[in-house]
Amino acid sequence: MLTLTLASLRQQARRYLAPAIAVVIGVAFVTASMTLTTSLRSSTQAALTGDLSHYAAVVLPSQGAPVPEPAAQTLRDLPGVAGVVAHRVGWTRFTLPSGPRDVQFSTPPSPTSAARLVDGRMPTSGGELALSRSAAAGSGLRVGDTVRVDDLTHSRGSATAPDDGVGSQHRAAATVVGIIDAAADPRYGSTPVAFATDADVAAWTGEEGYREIDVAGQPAASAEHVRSEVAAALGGQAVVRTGDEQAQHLLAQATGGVDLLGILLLAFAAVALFVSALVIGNTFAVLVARRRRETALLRCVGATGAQVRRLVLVESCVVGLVGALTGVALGLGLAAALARLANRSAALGLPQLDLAFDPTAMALPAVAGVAVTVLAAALPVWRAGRVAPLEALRPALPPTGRSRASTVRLVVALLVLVAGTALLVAGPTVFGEQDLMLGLVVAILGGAVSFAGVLLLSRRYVPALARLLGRLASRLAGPPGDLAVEGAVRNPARAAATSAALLVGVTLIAMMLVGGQTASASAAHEIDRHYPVDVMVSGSGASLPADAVARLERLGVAAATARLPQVTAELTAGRGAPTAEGMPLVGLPTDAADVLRDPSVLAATPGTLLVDQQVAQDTRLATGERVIVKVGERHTSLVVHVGGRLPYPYFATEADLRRLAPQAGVAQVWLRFTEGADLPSAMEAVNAAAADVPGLVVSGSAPERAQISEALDVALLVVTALLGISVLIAVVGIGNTLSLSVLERTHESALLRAIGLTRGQLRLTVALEALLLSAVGAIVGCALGIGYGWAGARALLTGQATTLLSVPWGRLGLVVVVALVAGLVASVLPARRAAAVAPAVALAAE
Amino acid sequence: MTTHSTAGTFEAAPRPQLAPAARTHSLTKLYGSGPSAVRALDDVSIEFAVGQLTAVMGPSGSGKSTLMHCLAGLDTPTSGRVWLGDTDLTGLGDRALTLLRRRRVGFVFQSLNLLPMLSAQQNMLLPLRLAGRRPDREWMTHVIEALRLADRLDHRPSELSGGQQQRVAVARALLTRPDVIFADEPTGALDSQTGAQMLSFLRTSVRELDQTVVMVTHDPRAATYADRVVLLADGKVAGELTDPDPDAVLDAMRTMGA
Repeated sequence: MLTLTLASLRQQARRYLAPAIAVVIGVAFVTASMTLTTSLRSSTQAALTGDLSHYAAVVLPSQGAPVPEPAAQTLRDLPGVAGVVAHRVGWTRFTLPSGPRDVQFSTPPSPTSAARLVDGRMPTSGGELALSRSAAAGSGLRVGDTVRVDDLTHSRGSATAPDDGVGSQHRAAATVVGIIDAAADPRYGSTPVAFATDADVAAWTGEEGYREIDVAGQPAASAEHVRSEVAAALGGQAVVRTGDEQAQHLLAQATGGVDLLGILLLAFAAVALFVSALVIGNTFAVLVARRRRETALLRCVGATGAQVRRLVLVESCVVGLVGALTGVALGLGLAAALARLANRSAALGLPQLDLAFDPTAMALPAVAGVAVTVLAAALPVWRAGRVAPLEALRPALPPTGRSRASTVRLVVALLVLVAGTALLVAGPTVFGEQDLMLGLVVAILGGAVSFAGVLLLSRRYVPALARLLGRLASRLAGPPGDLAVEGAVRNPARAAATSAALLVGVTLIAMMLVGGQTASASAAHEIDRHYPVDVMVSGSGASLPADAVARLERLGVAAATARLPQVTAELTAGRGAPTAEGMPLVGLPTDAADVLRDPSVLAATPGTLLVDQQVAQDTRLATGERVIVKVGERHTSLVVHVGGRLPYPYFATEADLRRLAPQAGVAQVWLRFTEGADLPSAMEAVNAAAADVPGLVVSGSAPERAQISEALDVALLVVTALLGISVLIAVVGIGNTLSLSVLERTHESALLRAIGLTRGQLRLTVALEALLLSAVGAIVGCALGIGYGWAGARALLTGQATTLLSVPWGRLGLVVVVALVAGLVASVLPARRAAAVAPAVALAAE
Repeated sequence: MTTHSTAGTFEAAPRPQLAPAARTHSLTKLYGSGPSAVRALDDVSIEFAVGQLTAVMGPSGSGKSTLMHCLAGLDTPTSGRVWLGDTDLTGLGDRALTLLRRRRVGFVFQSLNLLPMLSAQQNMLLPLRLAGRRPDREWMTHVIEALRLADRLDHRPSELSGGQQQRVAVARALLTRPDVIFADEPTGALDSQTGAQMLSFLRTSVRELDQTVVMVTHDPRAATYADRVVLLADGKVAGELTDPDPDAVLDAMRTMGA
């Protein structure tokens, strides 16, 4: 029998190309994912042990409070200690042309750290900075540039108002002297970090104490001895571990993230393998059907059903093995290429990756590839064994209509669909209120089950939809359109499987796009409430010069502007002493609503005083309470209304404020950017307009808003790219189905050519058939994706916000167009092959 | 090219009054190349008169199907020329040949004549639809009635008997009113009674509808329905009979050594 198998494989090699390619892509994906995660883990481990094993003890904050500053000196004086590296870490802001940016500051990495200088030098004296590669990429700063850094110690010291977020006038200038690749050190990872001397970090961030102190022991002293000595000296103020303990601890933390990444990648790879399985199953079904006569002849001459099955099974094993081995090789190459790319790109913020060749990362994908192929081919294999010897002598029967089996299948599919949908919808409502994770898990399970139902039903709706779309095709293309529809729906099972392969990928992509947009639209309300004002330009209480105001109002990037007066007021609740003195009170003009992202955040009605939530709590003011507001000699009585998080502590209507201070000038200009304005250039324009007025402060939440949506976009892009691999496999499947159909219909095509179908029309027919199959997959996929995306966002946002379905029609349209173009590309070769057959030859062969 | 002289009777015959429906001149067709090339047709010059049912006979491998394919524009000759009416097919490209087949040629093949996914009526109308032409309703009704297909129009080929399938194929060929209908073993897959019906219909359409039919067959009984029989052997014209009876055909075949 083996001779037969080999002969058959040799003869049909070209037909097995598509399933082999499907296996190759799927297995390459798995191999690359596993190799990269393994490499990431081993690189992290190497970086950690290479660093921390040099230290006898590591001192860490206990319960969040930094290690007190004197501890460093205490440790240095211990007898067993050779040296100490103290890490001070805190946060402050850069003022960049694109606006303010929060940045983490740290003392320079220890000499043993895996972080290394890639440009310039380390900061050695005051006013010098080195940036991590991710910080440099994010800020656009280079060695030699100067940047303004908020000095939090000094602004805090002089602040009379609560930290109002307006920004401080105390800034220091710092020069960038070096760029550091810090990603390999898990202390920093991909977080943007600026490194400066200990004194500067302390001054700028106001951080009093250390995040970590690494203690090097004397050569003679054991690590455990030094550790206990250090612990005794600090007396419970901090957590003390040996270097090795800390390395283990960090490794567990870091690899937790790597493991999660690995699981995610494997989930996408599993999707790709599943789609491969559909393509493989389809191919074997077609090949077995094509070979019915040949198989029957084998049975006539004495082959048993089992022997026939073994024959096909071995074929599937060989195809799987060849595909899997090629896939592993390709995957390793891919991982190596990606690692090189990651090592070059700063923006990714990944540590230096040294490729680790893990036998498991090669064996497992190979086994999975073979297993998927053999399992996918199982049903066709079983059918092959049922071919009766007599079929060799009978003409091939056309596919029969509805049998009992297909009714059973319909009922089962409907039950599965309904049950899955019920779980998907009910999960978040029933379980999600108490336990978000449980609700989410139930919803995911329900989604998977209902999708299985959708796939089982595909035999029913794929041909129906293809016919429906086919009407359009016939109207546009005439007879080739009709022929394409008939060809596409002729074998419902094959049409369904071909379309379903594409359906999987498109559904998942559409789900991610719709879910992402729905989640962000639903969260947009939250974001609007947190960041109501794009840009605030203020002169810290003083009136702004009229020309600066005019310049700001004329900016092209401003969709709306508002002028706000501000006075210093004194508040008295009840009869006692003033509750607050010297408080900035901002007047809201009637057109303030135009500049606000969420006008309800700052909606003061006449006669009320809008108070920031936190301030109200601190000063014990409650909604409905009456307060006397005094400005200079004038005073009035206002009713307190406690709001949410506000940009300033107190607001009143402009009319109420002017009654207290008729002469109050314009102290602030607020801007709302036009939708879709390019943020860096918009901020630059604002800064330029405010530049020549000393003391003007530009603040606002536009940069934060942009960061949030940018992060979401990047995540969606990556996910779409990963799912795109399954679409690629599906397209291989479409091409494969078509070329097998073309082979099957050689005689029909010849007949059509004989009675007057031109070569171009025949090509068009095949192309239209591909378009129909991919259109059904893409359209149904998008429709399902909208449903699943909404359901997923709903499950994620349970109890947080009402889920507002928001569909990115443009992107979905793009997905459909890409699927159609891909289908069309897949049809090129089969169409050419169909058209190349000379009608006389094909007719004579019969 | 060769010293062998083809059937003298044909060359001596007086030219017909009408221009022939189809003719060839020194038609030669080789398959393959070099020493292993097969000479399917060897210097064949022949004419087919308008309004006649001509049977081309010969044993397997005599080149009769190749001759038909070349005449119908399905295959291109290696050398020599082919005319359909007064159109020279020799220089035509694939597209021109396709349009010519669509408009001026009808086909009936031995089996698998019909597209399985189309109904009988859709199959019949396919050449007209490909050409973007509307069927002549009166003609269509006439053809359908003559072929007794009125109650089979909505059936798929798999629901039709072999004879019915062939009648649908004939209807398809007739509907476009082609210059010539080429029938390749039209009765090959039919039982003798159905085959006889089929052949008498073909002859009726020649007599009454003024249709020209060229039929390739190796069935001597089929040949007796023809006005004229052309005998082919080894790619050459080996003889010819007019208004043959079965005995004459069988005799002729026997002398050819078939």
